[in-house]
Amino acid sequence: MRRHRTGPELRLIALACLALVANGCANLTAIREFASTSSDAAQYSQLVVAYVETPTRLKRYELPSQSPVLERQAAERKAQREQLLLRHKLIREYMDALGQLAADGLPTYDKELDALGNAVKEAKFADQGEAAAFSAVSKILVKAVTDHWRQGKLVSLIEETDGPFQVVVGALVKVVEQGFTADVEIERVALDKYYTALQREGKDAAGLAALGEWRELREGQLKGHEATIRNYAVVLKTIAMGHHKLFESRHQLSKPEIQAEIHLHTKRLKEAFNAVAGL
Amino acid sequence: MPLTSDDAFALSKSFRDLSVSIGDFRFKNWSTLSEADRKTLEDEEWSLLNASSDMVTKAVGLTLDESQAGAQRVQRAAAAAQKAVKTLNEVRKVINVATAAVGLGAAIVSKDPGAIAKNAKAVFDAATA
Repeated sequence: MRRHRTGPELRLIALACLALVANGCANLTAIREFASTSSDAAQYSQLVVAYVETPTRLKRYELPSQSPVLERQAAERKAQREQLLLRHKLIREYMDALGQLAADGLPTYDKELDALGNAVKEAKFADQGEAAAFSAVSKILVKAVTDHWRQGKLVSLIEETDGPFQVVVGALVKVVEQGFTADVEIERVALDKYYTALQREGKDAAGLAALGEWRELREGQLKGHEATIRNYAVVLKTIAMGHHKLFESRHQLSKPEIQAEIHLHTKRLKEAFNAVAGL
Repeated sequence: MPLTSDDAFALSKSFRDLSVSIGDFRFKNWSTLSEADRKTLEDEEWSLLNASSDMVTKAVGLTLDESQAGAQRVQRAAAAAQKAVKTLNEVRKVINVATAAVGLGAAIVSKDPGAIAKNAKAVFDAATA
């Protein structure tokens, strides 16, 4: 049987709502959604893995005399792996904190934050501008945890972070767009040299046909990888743009039109990330 | 002047293009080249392609600051080498240019300013001989 609310009950609900507003608590679902999608997208590290493994893949095409060089390169790239993954980790940690504050929760302490701080101290970033930006974001994250920030500090978080956050994401975009793309170009040249020579030397028609098909397959794989790189650059740029939108609208985050705009960024981000993941 | 990541990316492209040009020469003259010359050229091509890869590693790691590589001089040398390979018909000269360029790539990796300057000059000399 349906129960009708009594006058005192309604007054109580109205009072509770007023208390929420007075506390500054707002329903920031769109921000939480944006933060959670960004955090998921930042976890994608397959491109870093592919980059680290390029010298090993090149071994299949190059002369055995080049093996010592490729082994040295493989070791150097393995040493870069952590530095590259740290950028992903920082974006993820920050987005998790953003989502937690938007939900009026306490940002959780993660030991990875220590690793972030140490990475900066150990000067793993030779670029001073990026090192400073990285350090600034990680310091704010630690502060948010140790000072028990809640939703009321959301504006401060966004305000203090946007500048350095743009630098960190921008640096990662550069690595992806220029570094990983250059890597694909090199692999394409290697593939071309290898198969062209084999096809020149080949005499057997069936063997040559099989070689042609195999070459096509490898070229297709490279094209697919190249498309993934392009799409992931879009993902990162959308995260950066979405965050900057939050920064620009930081004093009116609960307004429906702002929430709608943030929701649009999340939608674009999901589309770009689905393209990366091949969904 | 320190080498920036943009310089390293540009050098990566220069070395890659040079490797492609020498490969084009090898495949174009495939039937007239001796087995030994083909092998020598191929070796240099892979070395240059690996030098290109080294530049990408450095650009991504941003750890080139101490190398003082003189990026513009290196790029000019690589461009002269590529131009020479495109116009040269004589295999010996192409091999000389390629060998000098491989030396330049190795000098950059070793971060030795003296060796970089010396090898950049050697590339120019071989390209304009």
